[in-house]
Amino acid sequence: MNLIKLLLPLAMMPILTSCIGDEPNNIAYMTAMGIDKTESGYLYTIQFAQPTKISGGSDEGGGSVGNIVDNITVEAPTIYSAINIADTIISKDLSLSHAKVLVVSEEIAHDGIAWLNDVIARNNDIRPDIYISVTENAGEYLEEVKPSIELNPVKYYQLTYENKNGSAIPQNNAMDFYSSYFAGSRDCLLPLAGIAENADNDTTDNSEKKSIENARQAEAEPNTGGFDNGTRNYYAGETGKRIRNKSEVLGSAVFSGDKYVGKLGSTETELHNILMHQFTTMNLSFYTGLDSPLTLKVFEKTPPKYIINKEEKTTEIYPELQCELLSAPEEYRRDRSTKDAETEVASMVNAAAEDLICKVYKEMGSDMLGIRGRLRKQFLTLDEYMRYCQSFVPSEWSFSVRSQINIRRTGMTYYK
Amino acid sequence: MLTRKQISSITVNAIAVKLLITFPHTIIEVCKTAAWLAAVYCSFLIFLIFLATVRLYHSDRNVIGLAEKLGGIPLRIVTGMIVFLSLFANYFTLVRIFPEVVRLVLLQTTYVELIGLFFAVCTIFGAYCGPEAIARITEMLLPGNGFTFAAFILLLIPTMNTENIFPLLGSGVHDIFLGSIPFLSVFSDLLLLNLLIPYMKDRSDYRRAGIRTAIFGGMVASLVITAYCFSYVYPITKMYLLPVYQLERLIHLGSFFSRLEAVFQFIWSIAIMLYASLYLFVLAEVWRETFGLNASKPLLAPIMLSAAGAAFIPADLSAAAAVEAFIGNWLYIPTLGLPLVFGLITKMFHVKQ
Repeated sequence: MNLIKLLLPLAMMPILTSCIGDEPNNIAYMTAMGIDKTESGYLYTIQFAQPTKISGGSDEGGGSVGNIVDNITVEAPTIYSAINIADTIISKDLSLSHAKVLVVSEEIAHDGIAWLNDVIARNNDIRPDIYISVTENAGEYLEEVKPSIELNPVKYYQLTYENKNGSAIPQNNAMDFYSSYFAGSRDCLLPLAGIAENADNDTTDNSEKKSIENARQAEAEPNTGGFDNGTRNYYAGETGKRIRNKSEVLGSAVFSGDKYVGKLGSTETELHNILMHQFTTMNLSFYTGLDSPLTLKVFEKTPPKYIINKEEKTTEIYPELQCELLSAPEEYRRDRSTKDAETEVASMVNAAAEDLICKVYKEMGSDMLGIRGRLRKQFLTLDEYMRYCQSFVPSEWSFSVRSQINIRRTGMTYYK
Repeated sequence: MLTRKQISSITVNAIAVKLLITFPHTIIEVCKTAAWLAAVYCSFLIFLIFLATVRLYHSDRNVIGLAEKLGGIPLRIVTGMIVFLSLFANYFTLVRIFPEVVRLVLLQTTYVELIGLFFAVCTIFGAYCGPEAIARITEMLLPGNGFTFAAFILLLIPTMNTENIFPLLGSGVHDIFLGSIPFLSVFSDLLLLNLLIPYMKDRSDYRRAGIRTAIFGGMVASLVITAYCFSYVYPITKMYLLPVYQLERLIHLGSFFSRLEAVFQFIWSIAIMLYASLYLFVLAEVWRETFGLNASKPLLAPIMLSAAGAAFIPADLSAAAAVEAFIGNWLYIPTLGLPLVFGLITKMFHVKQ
């Protein structure tokens, strides 16, 4: 009897391990999905990892020559029907568990992408930290994703979209978009993706001699207001290109609710990140009136303080940036102290940030700073708050930015 | 005989298990952004209710035994049936929800019937071993579970946002203080303490273990709801079926540990098996005591089968969760009320004598 007691649960254990299902060898891991609109529905580009090409897949030295991802494009009404069709094309079954990015075309984003929220929230395989990005043509963008220094495509997307050491893309993932949309607390900015183009100035057909200059680079306007002076306000696809991987993620897609209403360049996104405490670290140049700029390594350690007056519809924002002086023109060093530099830099940051807020709130009608969410504290009950939110119009609000710049270190040389 | 620590362990485990299923959803549905405040309030309230109960309840018998003493066999049968039906209502929803949830989050390719069968066999086996065996295993596992729970809460801190709990009063003061009362059903397993009085060495164990349970159970309830309300913004908090599972999905420890929900699922499954085994044992004991039978072990399989039969009446998981919410709305009345009422009657009876 005791033996039966012991064996009964043990006998059931092997069949509950789920090992009777798909083996990892039989699964194709989707890394990204692109969604474009067609006349009759949606065009889904499913990108999946090629295990034989990634680290350890071919030999001990890592991956072999060739792209580590491949793409299938199918027309289907929903994501799941697209996966069904793709499953019939490739030998393995597709899994969403390692998907890192959903790329949607601008056309779809214009119509609204709230329907994506339901797919992401309901599916247990899709991680909540998956990214959604917006591009002109999602399929073309994914075709151009050819990571050259990573052997793992998931890692490539993770490093690109998390962008820990840069601040030119918004740090919002699908979960942020989902919660801010349903809670109505703010209008979320999403990363902007694009493709660089070769400036083909060679008359021969030899592709090895193609220019390394991006044809679209000149389209980006240089900053002239003092903040990050001289650098261009790039949109994705406009920076200096690489030979192989022409895909880029840079700038922001601005949403009002779930609808795409405009885009911001790299410099504007940096300012957005400063105002939203998503800024990490960047080396920024500031106009000094001299030939060469003042270059600072900027950090944001504390979130900006917001003082909101809901009756007068005004907001004062107090960002605090810590800096290290990287370089300054000799004349500047001779005539002015670090205190002078702090004051001048602060005024440039304030002006640039106010311009950005004006553009987004007045022209695009998007509450990117989440004033609605920040106002939650000023209400006692949810009913009062919801009533107020219904009458919230972003363009009616005015903002002033009063940043504080602290130059904490001046590098290895003395500066007064 | 059970030690005081073992009794506390099994009841704290029972309360914690409930919070890991769909119960947080109930309080969020009512109190909205103030659910955390209501959870703290209910935890305080249950402490006061239990203090009042132990102050009034001075008997070596459980409520069924006490009913017999006060009103003879008819009152024993009536009381026994109320207790049995209350526990059974609480139990059969668990029998349905557990396999569905395991399939949903972990064993997606396994048949739900197979998980249900495994659950039933393990539960019957556990109940057959008796409360001492269940209590010993729970006593061993609870510190580990508590440590894991504390670690999860700490790891969630970076995802928490204080702005999510505003507006502070949610749907209003009325809902916080009155609308949240059905949330006391989370603590309905304090009735198990009373039913296990015959297994206690000393009557004071009921009081001490109960107070310990009320404190720890209240802390766990408050922490779970508060962590959830701080991590997700309303109305996202009311959208998710399994709040605690969603919390675990937020945790990332570098690139290698981003799926800690498997750890949670492992611990949760063991905790729920222990809880279900104890519940089945108590159900059989209640039936035996109510009808004056000689043994309870032959009743284990029939009760389990009845629970499984009732569990599969709701058509789907959402319907099962709705039934659970409906039962949760009134469950606290008999489970917390019976010891209080019988304690009060006994006290009055003794005063008259």
